[in-house]
Amino acid sequence: MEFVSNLYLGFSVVLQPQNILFCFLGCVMGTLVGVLPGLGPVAAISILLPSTYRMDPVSGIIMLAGIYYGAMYGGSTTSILVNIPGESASVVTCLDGYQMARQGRAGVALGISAFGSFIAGTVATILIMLAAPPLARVALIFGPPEYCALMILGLAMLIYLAMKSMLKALIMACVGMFLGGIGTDPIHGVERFTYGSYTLLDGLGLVPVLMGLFGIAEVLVNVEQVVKTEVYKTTIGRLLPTREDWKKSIRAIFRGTFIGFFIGVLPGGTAVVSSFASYIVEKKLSKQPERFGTGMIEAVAAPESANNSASQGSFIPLLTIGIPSNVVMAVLLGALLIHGVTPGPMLIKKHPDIFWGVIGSMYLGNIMLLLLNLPLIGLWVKLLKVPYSILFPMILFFCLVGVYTVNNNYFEIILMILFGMVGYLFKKFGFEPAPLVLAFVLSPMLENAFRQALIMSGGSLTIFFNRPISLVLLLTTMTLLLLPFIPGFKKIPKEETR
Amino acid sequence: MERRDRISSLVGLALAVFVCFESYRLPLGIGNWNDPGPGFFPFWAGLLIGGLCLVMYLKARQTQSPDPGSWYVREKWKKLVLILLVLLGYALILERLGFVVSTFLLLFVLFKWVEGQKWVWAVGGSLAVALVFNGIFDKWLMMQLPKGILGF
Repeated sequence: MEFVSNLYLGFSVVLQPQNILFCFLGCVMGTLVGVLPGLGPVAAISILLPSTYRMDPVSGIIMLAGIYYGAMYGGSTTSILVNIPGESASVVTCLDGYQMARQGRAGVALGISAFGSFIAGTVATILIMLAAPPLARVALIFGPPEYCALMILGLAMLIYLAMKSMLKALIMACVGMFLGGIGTDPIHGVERFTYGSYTLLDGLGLVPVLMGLFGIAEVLVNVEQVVKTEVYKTTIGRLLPTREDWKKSIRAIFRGTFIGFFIGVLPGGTAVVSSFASYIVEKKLSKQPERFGTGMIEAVAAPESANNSASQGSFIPLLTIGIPSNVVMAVLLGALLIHGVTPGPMLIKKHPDIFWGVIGSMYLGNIMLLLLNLPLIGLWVKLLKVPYSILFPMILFFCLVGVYTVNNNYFEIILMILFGMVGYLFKKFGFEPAPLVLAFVLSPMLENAFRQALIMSGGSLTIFFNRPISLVLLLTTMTLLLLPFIPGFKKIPKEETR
Repeated sequence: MERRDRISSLVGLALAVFVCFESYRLPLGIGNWNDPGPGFFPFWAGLLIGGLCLVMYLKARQTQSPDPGSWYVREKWKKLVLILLVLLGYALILERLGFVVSTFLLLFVLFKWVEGQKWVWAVGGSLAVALVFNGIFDKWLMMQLPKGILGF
């Protein structure tokens, strides 16, 4: 009965005209950034974050959430038709999706991606509704030591799952911790690393940091590389998969959905990891693993379902515990805090409209995305032909206006440019910015939780090891960080996806 | 890549020294594990950055792989510097010249001089974007945009 009343509340919020509009806008923007290579969901959410300041918090979060899961739908289009992932969670879709396009089955590949994403998105939304309230009740027993340990585990997980070097990811997390500490010290009121700047008194702004690292830096790298978007010259053909295609894909879709959801819920779990994991599982289970990479429909269906499911599953830790599990959720956490909403176990009680409204919007968003991505596929293919020389000045313009309008402070534009240059160098020298951003967002919360825990224990560090939840979380963290040093241990068999 | 790792680890080490030194210099200092001061978190972050960069430097010195070449594309660096200067210029003129004029100039320079578009597109496109978005931000979203000395 509780399930039905929650569902009713969610729909009554999302079906208000302005929320339908913002959900639609989010889905369109998400599909757009998913389709366009060189602009990911983090950059898009960062750019649009300031535009939500004047909105009702529910509408703002509904739109930003739509961008995230919308990008997962759109990402497959570019992977299948151009062999360039529209965003990182669709990398693995290129392998078989593009081969299907070469065989004249582009439409079916796009169709199964959209249907798979729809099924995964809908199932994930139901799972969120079932799992979130009990988890929020469990989170109520969390005190500062548990929060501190959980945040450290989230960071460790992201570092462990780093796509490039774990050592570099660890360095980035530490740099993020330092950057997050700039500003006024929360306990003693001492200014740290501000050097007389009024702008830095409240700390480095999330928006200039994000837009610099993800918006400006991506443009600089893409301008240098010249993104070539040559759509494979094939007719898209029929979009609806045949009975045979469904037979091959349906199990892969459900496996992808559950793998994606599980990974999304984990601290540090990302849509990228979930798509790789589901591809590997399908390859292991297949009777013809040697044919993976030649245009197998289940190899498109599984990762596309997984990345959608993971993107929605990752809302659970943010909404119930208040801890972002990946960088997109870190940005959404920033957005919620700016709107004066603190996510966590009390969110369901204090702001049920936001909690159930966002979840309700996922149902609506999934239907909108299915309609946007199948009948309107021709429109997105046309967009792929917009030259980057026209696109990038517009992206830069949105970054500049977006960052300025947060506080009407031109110094924040300069900060964004600085972080853009740093982000460009990070990319060139093989450093991933995601651990830095997550640590940057978590740093003030972590510092507060750590100090509160010490105040509780009268200055004794044993509080972190005396409490069972905190102990288990810290032991898991240590295991994760030490695993790669165990001889013979294999982290993620990435080569199996090749 | 090892050469790039050596360079980045040395930069990281310099950052670590700066962070640790400045954290130590803060009023009330670092404190200790039982009573952390304002410099405690940044100090430990700096110390970890330093230690990890040292490990990266030593690892980079031990391994040898083919040089991947320059980290930037020689033919494009002028373009990147120009883009950064244009962005910086926008930050500096925005409040003086106002949103419409600054945005027109920004897009015109990017379209015409950075990307070499035709005059008609560069002027028309830049003007259209500046005016349309001024309408959206100023009139529809009621955002406070700088008017500048020209009053718009």
